[in-house]
Amino acid sequence: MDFFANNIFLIMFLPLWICLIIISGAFIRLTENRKMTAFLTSISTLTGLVFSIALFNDIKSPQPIIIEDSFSWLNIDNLNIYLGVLLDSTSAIFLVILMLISLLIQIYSYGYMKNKEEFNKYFVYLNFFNFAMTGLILSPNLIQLYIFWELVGVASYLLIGFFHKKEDVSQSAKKVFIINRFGDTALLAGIIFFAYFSITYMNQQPNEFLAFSDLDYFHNQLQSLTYPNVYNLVLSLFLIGAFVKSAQFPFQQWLIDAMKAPTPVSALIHSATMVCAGIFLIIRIYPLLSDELLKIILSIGLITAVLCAFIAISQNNIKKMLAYSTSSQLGLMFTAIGLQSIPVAIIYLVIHSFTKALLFLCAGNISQISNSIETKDISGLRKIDFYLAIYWLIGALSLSGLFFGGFTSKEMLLNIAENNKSILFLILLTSFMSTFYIFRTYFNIFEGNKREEYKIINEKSMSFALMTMVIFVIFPGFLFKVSQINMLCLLAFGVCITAIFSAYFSNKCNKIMIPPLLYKLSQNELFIPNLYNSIGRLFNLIYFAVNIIDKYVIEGFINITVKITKFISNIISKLQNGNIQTYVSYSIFSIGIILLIILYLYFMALRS
Amino acid sequence: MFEITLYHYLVLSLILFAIGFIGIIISKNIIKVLICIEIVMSAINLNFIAFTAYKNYLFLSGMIFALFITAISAVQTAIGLVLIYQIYKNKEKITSEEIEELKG
Repeated sequence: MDFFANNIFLIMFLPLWICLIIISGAFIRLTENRKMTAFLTSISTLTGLVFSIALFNDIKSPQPIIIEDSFSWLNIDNLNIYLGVLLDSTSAIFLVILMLISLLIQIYSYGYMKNKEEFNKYFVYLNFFNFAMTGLILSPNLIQLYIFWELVGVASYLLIGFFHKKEDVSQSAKKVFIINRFGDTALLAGIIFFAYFSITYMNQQPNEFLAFSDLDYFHNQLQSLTYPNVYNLVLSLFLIGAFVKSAQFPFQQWLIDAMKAPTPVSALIHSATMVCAGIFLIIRIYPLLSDELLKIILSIGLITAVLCAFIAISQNNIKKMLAYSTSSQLGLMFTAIGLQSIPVAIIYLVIHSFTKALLFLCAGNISQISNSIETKDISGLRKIDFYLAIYWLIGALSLSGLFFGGFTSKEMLLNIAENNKSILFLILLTSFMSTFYIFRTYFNIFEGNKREEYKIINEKSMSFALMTMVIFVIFPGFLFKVSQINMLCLLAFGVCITAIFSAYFSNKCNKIMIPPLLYKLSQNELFIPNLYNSIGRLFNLIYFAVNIIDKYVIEGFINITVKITKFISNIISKLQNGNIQTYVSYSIFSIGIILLIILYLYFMALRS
Repeated sequence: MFEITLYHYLVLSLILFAIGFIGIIISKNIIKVLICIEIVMSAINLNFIAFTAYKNYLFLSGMIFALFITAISAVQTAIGLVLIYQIYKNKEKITSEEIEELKG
């Protein structure tokens, strides 16, 4: 087993290597072969999967091995910045999820992108994303985490803008990137502040700067040395970074725009792996968090869970609905962290990742079958593709927490929230709404009358990936044991069943039975997109002012300089007229001046 | 009686130099320029000889220098004439205003 631990760098750099191979292959026209590209990519991810499972086994064993290996990257005075690898139980779990979902989605993508342009580019981006995400998960200190945090953002930007020839897609990609920059900047500011505190106030510097393994020590030292309010403010910058990356309220807007990406990418990045980076960061800096900050996390998590689920109720676009659902579920994970229960958050995340990836892959199939992802264009799909309906149903049941993995995770969440009635109520409310929207979509899409224009998709790689994903959705339900079946469990069950029936009836009546005002709010996504647009307009105003200053003040100044220089050089260039005699006279004239100066100095020296 | 001192020679040499130099600058014909260069050379020669004769006549280095300068100026004149001949063959003119390829 030492082999895996020693060569852990391999899983990080294999995807990058494959990515370079594909790029250079495209340059020299060797691997235009699409099968080869997909094969290389999945092989590299498969290697990563084998590695990560082996390492996960190591860590699960009675004597857990924590691999920590780093090398010095920058030395500034007594400040050492390291790059390297830190693999403990958290990162091992994240790594396994990443590799597994990546592998399945790469296999799925082969079928999905088969007839699309720029197939190789797509796989280059996927590999690049794998590299960046692995680096993020394995990073041993905050600085490396930040570097890969940005790289993940770049990969996400590239993949969202993959169909960049459409105007709105590239606009969305830019919007996503800019909103993400906001969080990144907050995170960077937090890291800088934190570094400043640790350099200024700590007497004894640990060997490795800002390493996660030293955070406990940092916390104990810094808390006694700084004002608690200031310290909390600095840490809340980290929280903003995490909230933006994990699409929490009010930043969830970027996730909605990210849905312009190809559907497998949405399944990989915007539901299963990248959006969990925020959770990962919070788990990593958990030793630093004080009670107030945990309360903030808890409340933001609950607000997001409820509001996003509420918005998702009336969305008619499947991918948009799933995106809001992702935000809402991530909110529940933050709730679990806020309730100081990291394992529950991680288990919830694992199960949610598989469930949501499955649902997104189903959405990909649906969009290929019907050429649309609007629920109003699709109905009666069960008669076309029975298995797809079953898959979606399994995903829906797991998401709502009725059966399979979702049941386990929801049960754990309810158990830790047992003592606080209001939190419990909000979680149950979210659960009700999640069940409602997911089943509403099921009844809309799969039941009802079949339409004619559908084409049947029969792609082996796609169905293989879907089937495997289904196994991983069902399987975790048996992996974790639920403590006991209690009243809470029955209550949650009742809530979900009610939600399914109300979804069925609302589909029958063809409208959602909530007050019109609420419906309007939900339909318009709480007017948050409008808010973002008005912020955009504000920036347009600033842009206008800056543009005028740039055009008339700065550019005018530069133009004047250019004109003056031109004028002077025109005069000077007349001196060089090509006549040797003129040059001779210049030289004699200047020699004369030099002689005069020397004479003057000589006489001055004589006089004094 | 009027005695000829070093300063007379130096003033004569200065006058010669000035005449030669002004000739270099203002004459249009290149052959005239060449002649004027010779005048400047002889002004310098006169300086050397005068200084040797009045200040340092035991050491004849100034005289020898004058000899060298005479020889070199002869060579230089020969080369200059050849160049001027070539220019004349190409352009059929030897006025200095025509030769301005070096114009910036």
